[in-house]
Amino acid sequence: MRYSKNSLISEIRPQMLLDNKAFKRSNEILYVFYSADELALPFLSKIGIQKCIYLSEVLSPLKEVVLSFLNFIYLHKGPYSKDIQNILDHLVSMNAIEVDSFSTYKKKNSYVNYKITEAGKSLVENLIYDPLEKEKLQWIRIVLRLIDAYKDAFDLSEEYRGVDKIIGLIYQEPSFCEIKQGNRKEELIPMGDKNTLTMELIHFLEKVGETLPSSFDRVKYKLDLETVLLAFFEYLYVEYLSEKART
Amino acid sequence: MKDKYIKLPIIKEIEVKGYELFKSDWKYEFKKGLNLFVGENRLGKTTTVYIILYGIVGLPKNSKNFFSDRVLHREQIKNVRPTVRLKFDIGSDYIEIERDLLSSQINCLSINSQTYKKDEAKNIEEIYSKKIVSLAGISSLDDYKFLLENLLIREEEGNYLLWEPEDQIRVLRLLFNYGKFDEEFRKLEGEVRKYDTKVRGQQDTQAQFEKSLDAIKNEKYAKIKSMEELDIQKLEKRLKVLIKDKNKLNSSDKNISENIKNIEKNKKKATQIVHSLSNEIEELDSEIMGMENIFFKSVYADPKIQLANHKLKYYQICMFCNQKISSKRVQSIVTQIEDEKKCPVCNSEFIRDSKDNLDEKERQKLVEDLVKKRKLVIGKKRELSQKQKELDDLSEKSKELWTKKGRIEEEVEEKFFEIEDINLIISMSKTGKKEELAIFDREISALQNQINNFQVQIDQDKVEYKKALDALGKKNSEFNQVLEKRSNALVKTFKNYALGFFNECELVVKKRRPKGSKIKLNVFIPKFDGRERTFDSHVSKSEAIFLEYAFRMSLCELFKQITGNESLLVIETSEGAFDVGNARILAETISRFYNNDSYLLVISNLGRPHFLKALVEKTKKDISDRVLNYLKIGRLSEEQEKDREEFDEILKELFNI
Repeated sequence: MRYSKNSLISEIRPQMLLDNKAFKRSNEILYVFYSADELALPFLSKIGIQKCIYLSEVLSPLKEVVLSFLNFIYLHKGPYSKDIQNILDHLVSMNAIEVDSFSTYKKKNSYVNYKITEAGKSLVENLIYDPLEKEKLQWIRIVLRLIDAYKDAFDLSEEYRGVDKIIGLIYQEPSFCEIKQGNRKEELIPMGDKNTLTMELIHFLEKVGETLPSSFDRVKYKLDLETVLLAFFEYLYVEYLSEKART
Repeated sequence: MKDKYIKLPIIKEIEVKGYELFKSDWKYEFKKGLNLFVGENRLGKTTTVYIILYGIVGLPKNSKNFFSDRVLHREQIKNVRPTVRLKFDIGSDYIEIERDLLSSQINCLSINSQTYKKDEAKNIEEIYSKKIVSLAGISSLDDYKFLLENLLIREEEGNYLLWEPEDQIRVLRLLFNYGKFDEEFRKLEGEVRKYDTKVRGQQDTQAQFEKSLDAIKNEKYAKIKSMEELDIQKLEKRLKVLIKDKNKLNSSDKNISENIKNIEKNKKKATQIVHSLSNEIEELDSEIMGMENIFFKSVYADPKIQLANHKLKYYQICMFCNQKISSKRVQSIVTQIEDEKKCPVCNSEFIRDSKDNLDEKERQKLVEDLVKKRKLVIGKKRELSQKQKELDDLSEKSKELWTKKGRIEEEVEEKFFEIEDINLIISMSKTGKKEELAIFDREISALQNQINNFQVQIDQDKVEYKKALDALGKKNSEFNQVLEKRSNALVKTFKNYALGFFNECELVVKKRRPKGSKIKLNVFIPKFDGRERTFDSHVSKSEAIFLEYAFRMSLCELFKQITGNESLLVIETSEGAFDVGNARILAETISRFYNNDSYLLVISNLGRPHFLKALVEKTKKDISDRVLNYLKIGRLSEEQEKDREEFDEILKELFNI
């Protein structure tokens, strides 16, 4: 990938990208859009992208990747980090992602949908020269695949569209759930280490796998990362169904 | 014979001047028979009783503010000197005394025809005291004070002579024996008490010495026993074991110290490595971050990516703070960037940043280096973790060894003291038992001497105590004989007064030991309805008051019969405790006393007129000049002023005043 060394604009660096953390956050958001594009998801809303990043982050200790969004707070429409919206705006200004559509709902609410541009894709393809970045992309890709698989399983109002519907699952997610039930909305949702409630549940599910009978074909049904994650999503989904049945 | 007895004061006149408690100065002349002071509450009736008492004997030293405190507004009294003038007889002698009420000092004094004034006779108080003692045949003015307080003046809430054996017996001694008898009796009582206290004190001290003696004796016996039980061979064997153990412990301690030294050395080394690895990792992380930045910058420098001025130029949004800005301002900045090629913030010329413009080869090389560095960091971090664990293990081991060392040192110390003790015992046994026991014997002998000396002193004092006690007993027997002679007359008089209130009530003699007395004394107690009433709790309130009045009147009457000496009896009545019928009986009883040519002052409240009415009906004389009306001399409250008319009517009806 070559570009003109004499170009004037190449000499003027975008201010936001001078910081290592800001670079990494941009990268991670681009990986989400890149993965969505691979899965033929036409766009991601500003709410949907929050959910994708949250799930990738809260589950990241499982893969031992280190992601850079940690400041999620509780909102009724799901976990929210203001850093994400800032990066989205910058990425739009850089033409790495673009606004796909803008619409209003019930006059008060607006939807902004984003999708990755060719320039954005080119950026990702260059970034994954670095194996560490590639690992992050792979991780986010796995999470996005599961989100895509489950997103339509929840019976939610038309207020929620596409990937947004994964909120149905996040309502059952232990770390989010604990903050919601404890009414500790001003606190940050705990994540990034192996001692969160989310990770406790994951470890529990891993142990279930270990107790399978010896006749179980471990080669054929390899308990890999994706299987554990699938079990996690399935568990939350069953919780959702139980709650729905109760109410 | 007549002069053998004391003489009591007969108050003839009282005059109070300049005292703020009263509205005006007043004067009253006492007459034989009934004298009545009547009024409402808080008009000065009780204060008058104290004016009479302290007018004669002076205020006690600790009550100097007595009369100023009884005035509502003390400040009003500052500029006047209130006085009381009392005229009284002692036998055939005439006394007139004027005292400053506040200071209680005598202003002037007349005894018969001799007059003394404060300014001329500096020892006027002494003259008064000596003269009174001599004329009354008493031992000191205190006798008068005692008799006034306990016999001649009975306050509304006063004491009961009948149930205070010590006071009763002193009154009887003063009234019915020669004047100095009571002083002699009390002196003997004092002697008995003095020797008793002395003997008890010495016995206590002696007991302390005896206790010490017992303790030393026990110590000596214990020592003898331990010496007998001492097995030197066994001790020497134990000593050897102890020394061996101690040396063993010292050797372990030395080894542990050596171990600790080595561990500390290793700890120091490990700490240095941990620090150095941490620094290396920090530096590598920083390098990696720098390399990552170069890598990211080179990626984000893709020509397809719009850069900072694009955001400004096409979206009119500030690249730093995301705020919307005006087109004019945007135009100016964009011109500066694109045409003048200068930074819009610091105005510097743009300098090419070669690191941002990596070609593919360069970028590949950078990523390879980055991967290597990361691997290196992972290796270093693993190494650091191992070293940190090693360091933690060393610290734990060091802590354990220090604890062990502490325990060993404690054990060594214990052994050391035991060795010292055994050495001492062995060396003592060699220097000889006799010497040591001799020390005990010397102490025992010294203490025994002290105890014996005390015993000699105690025995001597016991003889003195016995002598004093015998003398007191003799004196008491002497008085009992006197009392026996008077007993029938007193019982008869008392019975006479008690009749009416009781069907039959008499006085009986009972032996009682007053508090602090070493002998039992004969006292009179009332008996009615077949029961002796030894304590005031054995009678009702009205019975107690009636019996007390009857007893005092009987004493005064008997005293007059025996000695021919008169006195003024003052009763501040407690008729509130009596119902209408009993109040009438009380009035009749009192009237029997004053109609017998005795001086009596009754101080009473107007609140129960039926008592006063009964009292007046029984007098055979015109009463109008025998009444002191406090409504006239006292300061009436607003409420009392309102009732004044009603009270005046009562007074008019009762006393024709």
